[in-house]
Amino acid sequence: MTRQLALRFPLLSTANFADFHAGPNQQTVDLLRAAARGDGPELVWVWGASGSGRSHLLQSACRECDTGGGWAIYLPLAELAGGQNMAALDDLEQADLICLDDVDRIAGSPLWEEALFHFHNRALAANKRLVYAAESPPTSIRIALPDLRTRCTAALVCGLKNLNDDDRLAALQQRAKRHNYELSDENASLLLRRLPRDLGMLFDALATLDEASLAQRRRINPRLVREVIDEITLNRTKKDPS
Amino acid sequence: MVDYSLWKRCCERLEGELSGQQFSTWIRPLLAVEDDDRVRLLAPNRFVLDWVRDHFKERIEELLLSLNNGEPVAVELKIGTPDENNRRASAKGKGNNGSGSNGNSVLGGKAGLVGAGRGKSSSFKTNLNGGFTFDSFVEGKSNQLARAAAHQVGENAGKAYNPLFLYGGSGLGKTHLMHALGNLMQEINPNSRVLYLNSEQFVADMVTALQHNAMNEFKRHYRSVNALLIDDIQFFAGKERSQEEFFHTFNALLDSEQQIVLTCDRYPKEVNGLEDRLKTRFGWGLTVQMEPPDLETRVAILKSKAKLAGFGLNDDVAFFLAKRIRSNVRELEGALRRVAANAEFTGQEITVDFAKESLRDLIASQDKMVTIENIQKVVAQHFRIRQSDLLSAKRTRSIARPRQIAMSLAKELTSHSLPEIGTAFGGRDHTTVMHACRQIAKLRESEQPVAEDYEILLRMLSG
Repeated sequence: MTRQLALRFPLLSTANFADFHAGPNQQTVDLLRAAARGDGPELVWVWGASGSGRSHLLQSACRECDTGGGWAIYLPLAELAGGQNMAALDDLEQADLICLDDVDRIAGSPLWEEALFHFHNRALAANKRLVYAAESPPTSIRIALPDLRTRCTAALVCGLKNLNDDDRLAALQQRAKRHNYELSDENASLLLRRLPRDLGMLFDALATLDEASLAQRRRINPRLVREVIDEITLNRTKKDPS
Repeated sequence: MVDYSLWKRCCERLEGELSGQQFSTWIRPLLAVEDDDRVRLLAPNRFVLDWVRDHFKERIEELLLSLNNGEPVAVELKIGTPDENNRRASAKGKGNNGSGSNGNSVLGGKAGLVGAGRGKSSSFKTNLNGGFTFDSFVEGKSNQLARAAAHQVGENAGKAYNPLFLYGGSGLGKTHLMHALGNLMQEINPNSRVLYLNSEQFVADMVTALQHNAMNEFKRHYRSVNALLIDDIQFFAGKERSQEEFFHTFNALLDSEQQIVLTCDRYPKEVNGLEDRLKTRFGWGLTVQMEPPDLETRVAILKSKAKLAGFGLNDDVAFFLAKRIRSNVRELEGALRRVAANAEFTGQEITVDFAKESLRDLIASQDKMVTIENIQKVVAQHFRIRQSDLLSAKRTRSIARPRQIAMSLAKELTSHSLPEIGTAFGGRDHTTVMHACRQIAKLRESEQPVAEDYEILLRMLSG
């Protein structure tokens, strides 16, 4: 399939609670919204597998804090943990809400653990709201520094639950609406049946579908959906022949 | 004058060009401040500033040029933040959908800057947390000596136990006691200058003073207090210049009979990287250990915290939580928060079943971590024997006792049946496991070393 460069939808580039189909995770959304307002517990720990929406939720909280007139900072530690980038945590406690993603990625690094420990103390002493996210709950992460480990276990821990297929379908349709089009049950089911049901991957597929529709000036119908699915599957097979 | 909406429109364009993560991480936190003919972008720290300068500044300048009808707009990057009074009205790089963003104030507001680094006030700040008092501290066997000593110090600052050195594992209440005695001092003498800080802040202040050639001011500040409370002094390890300065501060305060209170995660002599002369001085006053709370204290802590949070917790639930979580008070608090949040969300009553369900993920992840094999490994390492010895037929005391302890731990920490535990220990019968558990329970009552070994292992495995 040939592809032309299609227009992007800037509204979709940064996350928003409105884009998130909460399903069984409504309580987590409520808690993060409270954190964005400066309410609720001082530390919320959000955990879930890759593709569960952790980063989306943290970025949404930052956006909501910002739009409410506060100052929020989002920092993905996975991007920084490989190097001696601990200075990224300096003075962040000046913000109202600080969301640190991929906290598990710094576990085991003495310098990072100590830097996070000191940042954590400064932020709570300044009465700021913290949201940490990781793949597992704090008790399962091998943080070597006991002072940091115990502080993390004091968090209100929220595990993101997997969506069932009805919720996934609703999430896809909700996301399509943000692209300004309707995704029929039939088309959404096709994506769900034939692609891995990881939401991140499904949303990527939706973006690809959207681009294909724009580039080829075709309506989104089962035929186009199948073509896009075939293309995605082919690309995946090329990347990982096993 | 720069058009107020310029930075906002620039953000809209950047939001369309960058990934959501990039935009959220590097562009959204920037604060834009009104200035005559330039866009002044404030980054929270040097790291963010450097990153934005290296990766985005050129593009920002291009966009501003194009959005400003070809008129160049200077972009100045600085570290800082508008002060608290102006923050809410200050300009921000916000999202582009206008949902709540404050429209034309994007470059508005008179934003007075504070300098880089933490804001300092000229008036004396104690840093004490008023919520940490002796009344809110739950006393038990494990901490009663520390509490009594801290109370004495609070009532007789500079006279009783100077310095007071509290040490013990993380999350056992050292910081709470430190604040409590500081608050008591202030209550007795509201004019007393009590200063609480973490060792990291002492180091950071000293570095700042060195950078600004203000060491005399630094010394004056720290030597003018009536009580200096420094938390987590283990983080002084390896920081020689800070130790040197602290040594002199310590001597000056002690000479003038001002109070010093220190906390540490271990006995002073065991802190590597700390000068011997400091270790010696730390022992001049009173050194008190804080131990993990026993079951009854944990229950009392839970009930007290629930009461403070404004909800009731019956004994069954409190005992359930206290039995599940033994390692430290913070984890207890975390579990209580989880249960309380669920109760508030669902409107249900807090029962044992409800608590179990609320903590299901947490408990499952803990259970997954504690396996019989893991217990065998940890126990073997602790007693410096081979793991295979635990599974062997050897019956010498040096092997049999650790094996019994490991079996007892397996019964307590895993959900395996007794026959399964027996099988995992070299195919032994379940009655052997029962005998081991009874034996260890008895020895924990009568022999202190066995009780200590068991507690240490329990904490290592469930912490």
